[in-house]
Amino acid sequence: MRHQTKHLPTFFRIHTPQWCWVCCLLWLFPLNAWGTPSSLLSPSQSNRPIFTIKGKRPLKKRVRVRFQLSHPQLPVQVPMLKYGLQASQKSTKTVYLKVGLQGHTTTKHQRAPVNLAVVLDRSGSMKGEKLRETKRALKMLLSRMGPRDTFSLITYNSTVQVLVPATRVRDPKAITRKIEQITAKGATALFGGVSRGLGELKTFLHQHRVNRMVLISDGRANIGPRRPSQLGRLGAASAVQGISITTIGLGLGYNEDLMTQLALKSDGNYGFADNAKKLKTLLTSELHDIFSVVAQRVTLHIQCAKGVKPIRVLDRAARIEGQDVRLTFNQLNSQREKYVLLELRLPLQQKTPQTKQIAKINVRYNDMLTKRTDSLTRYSNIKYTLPVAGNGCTVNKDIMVKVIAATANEINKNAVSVRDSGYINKARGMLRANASFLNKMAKKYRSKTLRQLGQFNNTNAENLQKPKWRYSRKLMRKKQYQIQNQTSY
Amino acid sequence: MSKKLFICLLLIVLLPLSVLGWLGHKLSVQDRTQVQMNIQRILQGRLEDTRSQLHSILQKLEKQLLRDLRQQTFTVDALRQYTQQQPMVRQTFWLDANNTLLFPRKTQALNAQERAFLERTRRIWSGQVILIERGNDQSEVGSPFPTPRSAPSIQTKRNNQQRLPKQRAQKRFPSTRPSQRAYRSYQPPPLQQSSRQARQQRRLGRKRTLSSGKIAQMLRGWSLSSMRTAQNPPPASHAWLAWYWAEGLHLLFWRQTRNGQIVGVEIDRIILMAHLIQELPTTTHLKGRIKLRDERGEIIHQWGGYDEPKGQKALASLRLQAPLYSWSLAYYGPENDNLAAFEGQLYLNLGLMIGFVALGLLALAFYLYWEYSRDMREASQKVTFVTQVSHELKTPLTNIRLYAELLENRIDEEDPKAHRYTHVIVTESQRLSRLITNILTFSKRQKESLSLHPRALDIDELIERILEQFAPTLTSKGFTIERQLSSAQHVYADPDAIEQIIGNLLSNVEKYAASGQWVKVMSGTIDDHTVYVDVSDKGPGIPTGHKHKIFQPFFRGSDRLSDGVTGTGIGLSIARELAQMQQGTLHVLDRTKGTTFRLTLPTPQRAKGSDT
Repeated sequence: MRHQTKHLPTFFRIHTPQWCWVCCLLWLFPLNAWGTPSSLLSPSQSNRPIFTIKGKRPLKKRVRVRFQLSHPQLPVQVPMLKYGLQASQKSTKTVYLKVGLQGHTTTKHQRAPVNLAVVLDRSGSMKGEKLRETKRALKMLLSRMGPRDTFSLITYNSTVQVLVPATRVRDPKAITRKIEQITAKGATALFGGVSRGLGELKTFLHQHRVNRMVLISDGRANIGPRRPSQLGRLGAASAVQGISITTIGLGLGYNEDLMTQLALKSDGNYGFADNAKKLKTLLTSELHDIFSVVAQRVTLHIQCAKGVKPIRVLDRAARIEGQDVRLTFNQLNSQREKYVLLELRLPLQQKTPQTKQIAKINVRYNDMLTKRTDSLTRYSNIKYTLPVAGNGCTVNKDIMVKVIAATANEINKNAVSVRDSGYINKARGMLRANASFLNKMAKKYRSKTLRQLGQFNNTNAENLQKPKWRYSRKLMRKKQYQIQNQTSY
Repeated sequence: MSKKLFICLLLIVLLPLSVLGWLGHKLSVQDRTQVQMNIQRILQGRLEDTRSQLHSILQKLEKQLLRDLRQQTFTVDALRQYTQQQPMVRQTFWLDANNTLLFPRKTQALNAQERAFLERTRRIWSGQVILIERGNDQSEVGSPFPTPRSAPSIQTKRNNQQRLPKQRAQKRFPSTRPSQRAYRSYQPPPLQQSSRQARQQRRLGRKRTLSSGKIAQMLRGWSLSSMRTAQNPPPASHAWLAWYWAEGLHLLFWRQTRNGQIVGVEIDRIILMAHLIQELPTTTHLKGRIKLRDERGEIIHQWGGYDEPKGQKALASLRLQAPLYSWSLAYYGPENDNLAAFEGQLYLNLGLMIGFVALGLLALAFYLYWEYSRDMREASQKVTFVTQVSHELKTPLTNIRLYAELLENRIDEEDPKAHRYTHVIVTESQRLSRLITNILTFSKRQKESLSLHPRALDIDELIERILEQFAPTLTSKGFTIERQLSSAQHVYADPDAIEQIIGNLLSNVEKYAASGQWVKVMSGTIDDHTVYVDVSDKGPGIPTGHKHKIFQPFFRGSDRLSDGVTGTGIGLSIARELAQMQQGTLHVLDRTKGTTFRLTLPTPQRAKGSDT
């Protein structure tokens, strides 16, 4: 509390109307297999929280954490189960824990300084409209930056050129002139460009700056390491340094797997512009994303209680070491929730109702406005009462929709892999089954999101043949990325 | 200019020039080789600079890792945290003093990354082989970590036996497929060491048997800091290890603590590449292109403004130092650009030099020609002068001669003295007249304005008349005049010219053959178309070598011959010219004694026949 007290006046000046709350809500739904009616929860009380949070009190934290727990209500006989999905057969003890993190709203004037590097592909394929639109978009981007921000521009073709070394944006015209000089020619040394971009970002790398790289490419990397997994490792390493990489694919010629891996592992965004004119919109969204960052280097540590076994985190990379589940988010934006769906296995039977601690959650982050490292450890002790399950209790719709979306997303990814291997009909079957499952679930939970996803899967199932596949694959990857990384665009 | 003179002058100019050109060419070939070597050396130097740069980056990394791993005790959490915080560290590992793996261990609750690491490095932990690169030309096979009591001598011996041949090691990288390169299996060496070594070997073998699943085969790794100090460095407390896994070369770095434990890290190959790229130049003003390639020959990074055409070979290449020995640097550039620039300069210099020398030689040739033709010019000037004077003299002389002859006819024969005086005047004026005629003829000939008026005439009659003119003079000098005039035919010639020719010949006899006191004029026909006139004397004769030269203008015979005799040196020249102008000849016949000039002239039939 010491440092919070110290910064209290400043914070009040800025955020007095937005007094920050940390809400820890844990919803527990009856597990049928336990067979005991809930003594605490009736259908009419289904939204009432049954987990209590010790020491709950309002605090001025930049990040809000929300916990919810849901019993899986996945039908056993869904087609996706054939493809290796962890099912909860007879698993009355399996539950999903959703941990959501959300940043506080900030105004434009309160944004953190940005350390931005733009890495631009200027290979021969960028000639013409693509390069013209890119230049226009970059100039727009530059005009939105301020003198506190730093900017660097790296271009690559067969080799890498540092066109604008990392510098403060005090003279945008000089940078604009440099942008105008870019011409397109040669091959695609993407790895070199990204590496060099990271090098430039290091010049002004600071935990209280939003360190971001924007990679714009339209071609397949052909010089240097080029496998998606390799670029993914590079992305992961940049995330360790607090750098996020946003990748924007132009046209239909680029390698979307590579671009998504790079963005995913570095916790950046991924944009797909089949038409170069969309680039400006994408960059505007990206700028909005950058300017709304309120916390960085967010580490989430979920320590499960004894007897509670963490199985996996849905659709997101996490380190599970025994009872500990650790995740890292490079940044949190205001007004946008990032959540984790953790599959847990609870102890089988509790003969008498009791309150039990299920997990301890710790969140650490750099507050971008107070420039302090903050944590939320004190609010992470959650206790629940067992047994709680009862017949007829509704599941948490919000969590289940997200679980189903995440599950369907994994199936969608598998379908892409199967299509890549050449089994078009099999992939089509997977997508259609996925679509019908999603539609079924959409009806059950009255979810518009799931219905749209079902339609999306159905549409994609029709576009697995060349030449539509090329576009369709990029679209699918984009959607998968959006669901997986919960990005804004 | 005569042909000989022209050839001589040409040789004077061309010979030195061609020698110079040849030498220049030889020199340029030598210089080209030298320059090629220099270029090669410079390129190699550039690559070496880059290599040192890369090496120093690794040294820095080593220092940082040593600093990071300097604690004596570790915890799993601390190691995990370290892995998470260091972008370049893919995984950490920890061994106890007996080289048992403490972390990550299968019995521990491991995350996916750690499990993958154990799978990747399975063979290292089971004591099987990895490849260690030791310096630039050494490849060793064995396990990576030191024993609690390390035995360098054994290691060296064993290493020697297990060392891969150099060529094989070098060939391996481009030719081996990734799947074949994952690991190299270790075969225990045959026990051929000394008894002490064998004992230690057995001890090591026993240890391996006892500690199944542990690291038993112990070999030293390789430390950057000790690289230059010794071939076989003392037991190191830290080292780099290189081994080949699916992707290619991977690096491990370990450090031994004082209590014998080992803590190490696996460097992420991709992040290391990115780090190197950040430190290496981007596209610079470099005219060529430098490429950093991995063990498969794939480009990691390249810079420089040169786009090499497909299939072009590297101008220079260099392997990196261990532990990145299987990576290489290559330099590409315009193959003949530097050489062409050099050759351009060289040939320009050579051309300038040859040009200057050629100018000098031309000047020399011109000077020589100038010197050579000076006599001619002087003579020509003399002739011009004399011609002008002669013109001036001709009119009064004609008058003098005319009046002298009139006077001679009038003088009474009884006054012998007066008669003799007038006779002398007449003969001398006749002689002077001939001289002037000669000079004027020569002058006209020079100006090509000499014109003759040939007609058919009786040559014998003409000779008689000429002899009559010369008889008094010759007789007074004691000459015996013989004549044998038997020309059966007329000749077609200008009588004045014939008179001038024969007069010149007789004049010469008078001047040069006075010692013979005899002159004979003969005429006859050679064939139906040619008439000859011979003028013979019994003088000293003409040396064989001069027989042609005497017909050249201003040539005077030997000093002995011409001593004390005045002459212009144009008489014979004019005589031959005149003869030739009338389709005749004038030449010297071979005689053992004296001289005979033969003049041949055409008969009217021949002359007209040739005219038509």
